[in-house]
Amino acid sequence: MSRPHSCADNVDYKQLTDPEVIARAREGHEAAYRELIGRYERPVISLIYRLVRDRELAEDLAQETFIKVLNALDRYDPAHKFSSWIFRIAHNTAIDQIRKKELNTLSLDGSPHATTEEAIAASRIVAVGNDETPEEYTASRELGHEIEQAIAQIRPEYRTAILLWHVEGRPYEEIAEIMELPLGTVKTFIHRGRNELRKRLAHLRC
Amino acid sequence: MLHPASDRLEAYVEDSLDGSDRAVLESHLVSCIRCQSEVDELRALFAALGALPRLAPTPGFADRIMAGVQIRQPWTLRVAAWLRRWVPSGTTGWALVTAILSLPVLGAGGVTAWLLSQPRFTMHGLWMLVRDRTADAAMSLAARAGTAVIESNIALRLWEWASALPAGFGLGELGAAAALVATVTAGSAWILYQNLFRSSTREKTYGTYCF
Repeated sequence: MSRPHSCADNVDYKQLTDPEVIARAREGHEAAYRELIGRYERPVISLIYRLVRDRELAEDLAQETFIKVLNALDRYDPAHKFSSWIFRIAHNTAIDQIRKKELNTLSLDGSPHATTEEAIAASRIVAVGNDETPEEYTASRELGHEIEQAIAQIRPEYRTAILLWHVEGRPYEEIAEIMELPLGTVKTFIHRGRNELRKRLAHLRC
Repeated sequence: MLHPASDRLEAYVEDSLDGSDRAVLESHLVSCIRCQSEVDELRALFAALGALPRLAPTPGFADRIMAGVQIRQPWTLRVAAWLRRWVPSGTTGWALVTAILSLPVLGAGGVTAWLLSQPRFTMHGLWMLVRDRTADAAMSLAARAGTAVIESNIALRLWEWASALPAGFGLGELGAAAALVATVTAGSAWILYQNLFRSSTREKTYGTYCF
């Protein structure tokens, strides 16, 4: 394995666009690779986690996704968005895992594979509230728990489309590119996914 | 009452309806409690989904990824690393290289000595032969280079540039141009020397360049 670029990299990566960071990475700057990881680690882990419902496995699959993408930067086509590319690989990696292991199970209270209390706690998803009173925090946490449960029960394809639109703020066209589906199909998935979520959350209606 | 389809209500909440469609739907919502309630429900769902947390990775996540990533280096560094493999590291290595490089010299010396031992060859004759052949080769090379320059656009451009010079182009301007050329040449020679012959500082110098 070749050594990373040894020279000091005095570039403010926060100011650079994705294609500019990728250009630096292609020149051998390790800091550029780490910047790409920093930008996408949370979105990628979150998307995969909500598909496989296992925190530890989600991180392993996210790691696999990043290694695939970063080792193939030479083949990246700047005509397409980098985010579309990495989300597509993350989605495909998670879907492959679901098909392989039939992981489409609900486990919001921790990994189904965890055997000890610590492992269960470590794999549990935690919603963090900002500037909330204890009552509000408890309420929002319960609501978050209900929503996570509802999301876990809809089809993985609906889940990806819904999460990319609502959580990641991606437009329909980009979601179609990520999921390699026609635009109309993506719109249908999101519409049906929302309807299913509304049905599953109907008991919370005031 | 005719109610709008649910996907139109979603498009309204998404704020993706155009102005006229939006106005029509808003006028309907004013008088329809059912659709207004559906819009409120959609807004609550959108807000709840938008507030879903993003999961942070465990410590060392980036390091674990980087351990599996092969960083591509620029070709300049790869070539420099390849060349470094061929540079001898000790006295024995340098002695070997010197011996290999001196072989042609020794061979040429042997051939010369043998020729001089022949009755029809003299030192002066041999020198004349080498000189004439070298001069022929140099002239031939110069002629080829001259032809290439004349046939290229560079010569034409230079000629056009020289023709466009003002009539008052005097010794001062000529001196300034000569000084500039001399400075650039000296700078280039210094950089070449630093990179090729100052072997003890070469590694350090590479380390401070950003290709």
